Amino acid sequence: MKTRQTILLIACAILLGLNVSMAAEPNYPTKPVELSVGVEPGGGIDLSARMIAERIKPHLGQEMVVVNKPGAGGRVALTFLSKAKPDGYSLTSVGDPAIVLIPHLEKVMYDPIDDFTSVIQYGSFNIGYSVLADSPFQSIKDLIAFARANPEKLTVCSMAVDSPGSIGFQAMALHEGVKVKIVPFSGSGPAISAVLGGHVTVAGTSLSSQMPHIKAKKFRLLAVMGDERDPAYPETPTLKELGYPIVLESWYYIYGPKNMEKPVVKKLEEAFRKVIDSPEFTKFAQERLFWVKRPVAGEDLRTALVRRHKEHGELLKKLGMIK
Amino acid sequence: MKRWMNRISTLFLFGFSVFILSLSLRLKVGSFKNPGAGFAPFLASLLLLSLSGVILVKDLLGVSERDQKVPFVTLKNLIKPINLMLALIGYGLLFTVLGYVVATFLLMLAMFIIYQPKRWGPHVITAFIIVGVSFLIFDVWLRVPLPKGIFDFSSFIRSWW
Amino acid sequence: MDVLNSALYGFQISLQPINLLYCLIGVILGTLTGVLPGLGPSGTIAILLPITFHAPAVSSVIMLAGIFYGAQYGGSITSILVSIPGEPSSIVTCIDGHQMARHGRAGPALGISAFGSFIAGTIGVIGLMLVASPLATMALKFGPPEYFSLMILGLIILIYLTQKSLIKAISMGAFGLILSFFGMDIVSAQPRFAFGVDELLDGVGIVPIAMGLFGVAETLVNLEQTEEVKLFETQIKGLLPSRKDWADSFWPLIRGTVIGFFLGILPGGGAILASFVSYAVEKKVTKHPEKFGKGAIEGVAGPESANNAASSTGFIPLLTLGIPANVVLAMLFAGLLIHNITPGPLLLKEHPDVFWGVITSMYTGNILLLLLNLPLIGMWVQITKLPYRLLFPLIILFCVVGVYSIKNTVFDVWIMLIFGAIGYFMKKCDYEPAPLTLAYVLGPMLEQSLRQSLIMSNGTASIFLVRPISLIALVVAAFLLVTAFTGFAKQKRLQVVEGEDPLGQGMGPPGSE
Repeated sequence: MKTRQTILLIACAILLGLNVSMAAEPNYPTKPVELSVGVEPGGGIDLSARMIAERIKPHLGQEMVVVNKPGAGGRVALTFLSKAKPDGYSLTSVGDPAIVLIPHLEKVMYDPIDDFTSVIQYGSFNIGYSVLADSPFQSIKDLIAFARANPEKLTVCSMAVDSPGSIGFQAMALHEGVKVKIVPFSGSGPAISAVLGGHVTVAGTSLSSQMPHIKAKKFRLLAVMGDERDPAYPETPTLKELGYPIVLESWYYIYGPKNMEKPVVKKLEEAFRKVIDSPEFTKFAQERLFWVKRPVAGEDLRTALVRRHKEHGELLKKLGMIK
Repeated sequence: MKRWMNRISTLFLFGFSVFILSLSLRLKVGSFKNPGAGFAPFLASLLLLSLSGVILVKDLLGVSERDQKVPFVTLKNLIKPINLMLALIGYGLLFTVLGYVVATFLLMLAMFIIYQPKRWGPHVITAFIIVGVSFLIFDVWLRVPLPKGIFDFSSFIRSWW
Repeated sequence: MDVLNSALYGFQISLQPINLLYCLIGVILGTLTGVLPGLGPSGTIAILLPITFHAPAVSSVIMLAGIFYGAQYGGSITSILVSIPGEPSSIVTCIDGHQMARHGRAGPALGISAFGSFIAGTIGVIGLMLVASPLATMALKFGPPEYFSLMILGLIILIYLTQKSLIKAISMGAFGLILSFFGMDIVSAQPRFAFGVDELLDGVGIVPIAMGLFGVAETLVNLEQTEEVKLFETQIKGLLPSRKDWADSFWPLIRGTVIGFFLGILPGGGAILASFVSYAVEKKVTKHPEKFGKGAIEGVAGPESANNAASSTGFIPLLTLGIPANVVLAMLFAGLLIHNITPGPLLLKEHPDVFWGVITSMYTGNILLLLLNLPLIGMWVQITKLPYRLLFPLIILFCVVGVYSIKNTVFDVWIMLIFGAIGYFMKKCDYEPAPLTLAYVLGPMLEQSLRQSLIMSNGTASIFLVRPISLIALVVAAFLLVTAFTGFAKQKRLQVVEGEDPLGQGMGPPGSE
């Protein structure tokens, strides 16, 4: 009996003697940072986030690991983020849909501005509407005509049911008084596959995700949804030109949980900015069509988002999509 | 024993399916045209409900189970499994408090003792070795984040590096 | 032949020493991640991706690809030795593989698994070279209705995995489906069955469930024995497959390869679906169905070949369309992007060196994996010699760390314990864990394609019958279901006539004639 107890005591003593109390975090970051993305792998948003994450290590000193948390246009990832610890190790790459658009249409489990810390914008994804290159539809007008003749037959898909692509098309349909079907997908990757396979007719995803297929002549780009024509596709009209005053730009930015410490946010902002301003990233962003001239960050970003949230609300009201 | 366990299992499945069924109704099942969040769970729980119902009925009617003849467990057999479960529950509770190293050491010790209650000495040493080696593999080499609790071996070892 | 030229070109690249080195590193890491549950290939690749920044494009992709298919090799090791699946595609291997180990035949099991993986992987790569493009086009034809029907077919096949009660197997499938619906709904972002617990918003988790049902539950059952637990027969019967083993495994290997080859193109559960379709097929065509569940080598050879063939063809959507089928491939995609290479329809034209280099590297990768794994069999087999008092704590430790390391939350450990308890009851009452786990894996895709299809068709269920591929899948599923029931009924009648089976183990699976 005694021997057993003694041995046990000695073992515990050794273990206790080796203990070192935890010191406060001296230098953020001391372990990898998680960047979650609200879409399925593949597709413009996922890839741009991964690109940034790969490039940030020398500036941050730690790796940034990308994790996919797809669903509901980014709302799933954001709901997780709103509950995460604001220690700087949980970030999300999020886009306008879940912040300035969807909250007007549905109840969301977070406050889009106040539950988060805005870090920095890194891109602006323009939406394009494409059909298969061998499809009989040559223009948006053709699509509308078809929808009018065949109510609820025209299928449209996008990165999510509530993405700017889906909403833009719905707004157009509403304006014209036709009915279309929006098929839910969770990411532009699967959505584009569906269109390529002929299962869905129209793809309303980012130009970034459609680009390789347009280039390979598999897709025919019918229109873009922007203030002006996209420099990469100067012959393609905007929805505005076609008579639909719908402009839903899609900013993408890095978000963190609310109440992150200012020095941590500053450090992150600097690191991200270094990556975004680097020539390789600029080239990459330009090639993949999401480049933004002067990325907004920190407090400026927050102010801009508040403003855009309001503007989108008004736009939706004007379009008759909300009361 | 066996019939008792079977009854519990079937009742569990039955009850579970009823529970999920009611929850999915609240979730908006939607229609065929517009399936909602509760659509699929509704169908699946309905399936489970009917199946477990069938099993329950068969059981109550006393349809002979062919494995009735297999010798089953007595309470004596259940001591070790129950002890293991208790040890694991304790581990779960203490894992983050005491940190990986200490909690796992205690768990290893407990597991050895459960199996062979006789000799503690060698158990302590083996537990020590296993915890040490696993710590080196998981924390130091693979850098798997393990809870530190109140003892922080990770930074300690790293400060030596 | 044009392909031959391209292949030679590719080999010139992949056989360069540096690429061979990267390939070796990749497959070793892949095997490790396959062995350790929770530390999946995605985690490893995530950590390694920054390293590839400094390496040449082709080399890094070769390494990352190696990790991907290497994981398929590693996953079967733990399945065979301790009945814990290292990868979801190795779940089926637990069934017969572990039984073989218990009979002292761990060596042949591991051996046929390695060889099968090699042969299937190689044939897969050759097929890849020849038919990548047409295969990709064919894959595109699978839209939501086709996926739905395929998933249904997959679920029906689950019945063929059952050794015992048919109804209980189906109810485990339903249970698994329901569990897969826990979490946030992917379409409406509504939390489902989360009960206010934040961690549940992400779903229950396949790893905690599998570790609980297979690892913890098995240990609990084993501990019931009052004497020393002798899990494995002491006499080890050979380290490599015997001639008879090879003869028995030949056709399963071929069939498994074909099955995996075609199912691998489908994004999502390609390899997993392939592994258990193969198992079901083998069980159906064998002359000795009663061997299944007790250590039939066909039950290892088929599925292991299938999952490796599937991992070869899994690259096709990525390389030809630029659409990654899963997270691991998405990282590969990102890896290529870093080097300014965009996979997609133009990859072959713009960067043939990457395309062919990677494809031919898969061939060398498979060889390396075989050379690596075979000698290790001797080592792995030693594990079966460990006394149970040492083995079970290690298994438990393994499970706990594996589960914890996924999301660094003790919650997952609790889930594992809960499923350990559930699994224990399941084992005692003849409910099998495989149907539950596999239904859990297929559930999300099943639901999503169902909803998508219904929206596409405006609520008419006929969409599943109108489209040819979907129709075929459903007809086969219905056929299997009917024969399962009639076979089962016949089996029951036989039992009543000949008296009860004293071992309570049944006379054979449903559907055996």
